[in-house]
Amino acid sequence: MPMHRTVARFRSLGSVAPVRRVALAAAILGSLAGPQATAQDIDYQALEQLFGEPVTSSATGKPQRASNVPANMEIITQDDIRRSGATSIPDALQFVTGVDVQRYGIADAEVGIRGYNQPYNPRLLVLVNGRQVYSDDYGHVSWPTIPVQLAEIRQIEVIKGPNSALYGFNAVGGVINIVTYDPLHDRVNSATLQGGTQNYLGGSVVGSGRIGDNAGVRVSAGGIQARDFGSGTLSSSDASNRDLSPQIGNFNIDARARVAPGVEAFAEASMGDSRYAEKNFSGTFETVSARTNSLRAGVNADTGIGLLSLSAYRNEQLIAVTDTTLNGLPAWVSENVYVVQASDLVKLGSDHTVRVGLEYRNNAATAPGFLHGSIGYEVYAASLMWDWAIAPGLELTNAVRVDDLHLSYAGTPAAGSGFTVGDYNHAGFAVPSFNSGLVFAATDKDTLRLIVARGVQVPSLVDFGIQGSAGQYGPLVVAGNPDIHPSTVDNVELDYDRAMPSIGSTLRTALFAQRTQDIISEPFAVPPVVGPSGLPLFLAGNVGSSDAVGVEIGLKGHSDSGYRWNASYAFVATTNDTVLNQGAVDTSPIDYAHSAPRHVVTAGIGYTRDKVELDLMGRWQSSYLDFQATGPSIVLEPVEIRNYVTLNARVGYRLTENLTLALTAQQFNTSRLLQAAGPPVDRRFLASATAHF
Amino acid sequence: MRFWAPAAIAYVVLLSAPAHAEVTPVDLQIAARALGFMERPLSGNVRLGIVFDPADQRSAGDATAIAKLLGDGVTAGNLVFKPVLMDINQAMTAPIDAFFLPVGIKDHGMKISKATASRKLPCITLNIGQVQDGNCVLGIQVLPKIEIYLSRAAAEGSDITFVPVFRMMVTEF
Repeated sequence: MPMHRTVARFRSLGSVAPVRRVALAAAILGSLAGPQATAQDIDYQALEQLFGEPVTSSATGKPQRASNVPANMEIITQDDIRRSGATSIPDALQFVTGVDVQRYGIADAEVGIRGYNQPYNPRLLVLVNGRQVYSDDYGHVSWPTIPVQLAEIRQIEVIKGPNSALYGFNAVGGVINIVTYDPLHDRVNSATLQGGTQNYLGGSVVGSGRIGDNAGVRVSAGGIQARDFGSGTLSSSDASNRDLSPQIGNFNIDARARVAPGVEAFAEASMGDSRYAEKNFSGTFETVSARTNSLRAGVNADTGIGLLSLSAYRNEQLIAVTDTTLNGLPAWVSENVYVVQASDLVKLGSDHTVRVGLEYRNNAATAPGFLHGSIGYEVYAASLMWDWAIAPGLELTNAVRVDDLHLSYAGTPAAGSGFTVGDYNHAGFAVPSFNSGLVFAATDKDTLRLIVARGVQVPSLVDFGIQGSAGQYGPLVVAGNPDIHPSTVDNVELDYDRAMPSIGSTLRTALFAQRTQDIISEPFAVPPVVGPSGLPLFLAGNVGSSDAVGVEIGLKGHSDSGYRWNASYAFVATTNDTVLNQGAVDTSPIDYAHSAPRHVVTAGIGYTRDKVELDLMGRWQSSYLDFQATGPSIVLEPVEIRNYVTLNARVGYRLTENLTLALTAQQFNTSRLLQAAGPPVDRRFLASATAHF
Repeated sequence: MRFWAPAAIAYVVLLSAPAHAEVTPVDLQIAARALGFMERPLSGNVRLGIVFDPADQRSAGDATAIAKLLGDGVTAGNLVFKPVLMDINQAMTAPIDAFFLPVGIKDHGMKISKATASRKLPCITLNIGQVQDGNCVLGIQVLPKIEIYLSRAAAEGSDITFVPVFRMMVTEF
């Protein structure tokens, strides 16, 4: 059975003796260092004005022009966000080449990159200025709880493919790095009020200011309330679990100060309170109430031995679930994660830039109902990035990262699972990942990028430690698996970019092949085995592999006369080789061969003149397969989501120097559209007023 | 880099502005923004010495044309370039704050190099070969894509340092 093989292989990794672990860690600390997307430590605006294109430091730690990054990165600028009429980050992502957005409600959406989308998609790493905003409990992203207002985003960086060595684990499908304006360098002051169909009412305020010559602060707050899409053909159980009145509120404050020549300190704090319906990892609907907060502080120093960075943050969240099928189970999870990161970025001579980094992570989730206690892990990570300017126009970047994970559990394992507390507390593994990118500017117009990478997806805390004793979910036993091991994604990619100044455009193409091994599945989806108690045992596990190949072609440009345009085509073909959904009924929403559209075409055209902005965006995608529950059980049925076209439009008018009015129509070409196995998405009209001061 | 020197030289030759390349205000705006990343950045009115060789009528004509193009000055960020025609023979004494080395000045790189080192002043050019030879600190290329070249030797000789993030984004020789 594949499970046995994978467990055996895992043990060979996970049974590293403590002494060897220390030696390994020492060796790593002595020779490696780790990159992670850093906080804002460069003046993006000044560098963008200098080079005439977006600048990022997230990929390698060193500031780079978007066109020189040794990864496939697309950058959505603040202008792009505004012109899209987006009311959420997934809205802004849905027209990016290779990005798949499955909408399960007015507030709930799943975002996948290059296929592999699913409810509670665990293959996406989402960061805000380098701070993780995905949850370790299920390894997924609750987009409404991200404490960022769209108006304070400088750019959203979409990095496709596995990038664990550059960004950290879970960067397997890709990374979304949200970069906000720098309170020290950027002045952003705005207030936006929006209203529209579905009783939508939203507002946000962003204010920033200087404190003396050497400090700045930015504060933001915002929220929405609305009437969610009707439940359509969802089962009565799913329909009753959906609260149709989503409410979302978030607050954030960032401060940055130049405390000495070449030394900057920063601090960030956020909190949020949200309630909305969502589709969960098992493919059923529920309503969650989420209270979140975060604290972060750090310092960056330009020293004789390089740019030193040290930062620490804590994320905390309390999630309460409303789900009538849980039969009175205490349905809440509290979770926190502490992360400390240190790095040194140094340029050696004229041709070599090196970044060494260390990271410590400590997380825990507590849930008396789902986990019968608390489960968490510590991770010691070290990484090294080496960027070599081999010759003008030829640059090689190599990065390697090693994560050493130690699991811990305090609670009562499900009776009949056969696991003891000791089994959980002795579990762990060390896992490497790497990225290599060769960027070759063949001519002053043509750039080739060859990328080879291995990404790592760590099992979620629920995969490690969910517990359900006999009777809790029926005559069966459910258990997290301390022996589960990471999933890996290998990627080979060739990109070709061509500048076309004669038509003001840039052509971007990508050809890639991926192999995912040891796919991780939550326990309800895995075929049960007979447990020690004689009852069926549902165990989270590694369930197989999948291959994917794909092509992306995109053209984007603008003219001096005020026109802008973009068009793209993305193709991805994916295979399944798993033990899932092999029985009489389907139990898993994982069906990678069919769970994302193979063909996607996007196009957009816009025009700006004087006080008016006009934009029209369209997306066509081929059919794909999603799953929905048939009732209050774990049985799912496939739902074919037919190919569809969706069209959005926005008109903006600058009424005065400080006040802009806008009308946005989302999916104006059809009144109701099934975009996923969820509620049909309704046509939306929104009006907004934005004041800049 | 030395192992790749032949390829690098070929590449730079391909990128180097042709002798007849014309300067545009955009070139100077890019140069001005680049100088904003010096550890001790220039600001305010900066007298930009446009170098010419009085023995070469074409050189003098080029310099005059460039000065005329720049008019009263070019502004970028906190800096305003004020053009000043400068005889190559007065490189050591002319009252300027920075050198601009037109593409046509090909045979006087060493003079400029000595002057910038002696006077601790930055030098800008569109002739990337002068940067690679260490005669000029900064080389600017605007089309089809903005590229900036930095001579470490010339910068060190002139006692000029740039902030690390800038150095990481440019091509250094």
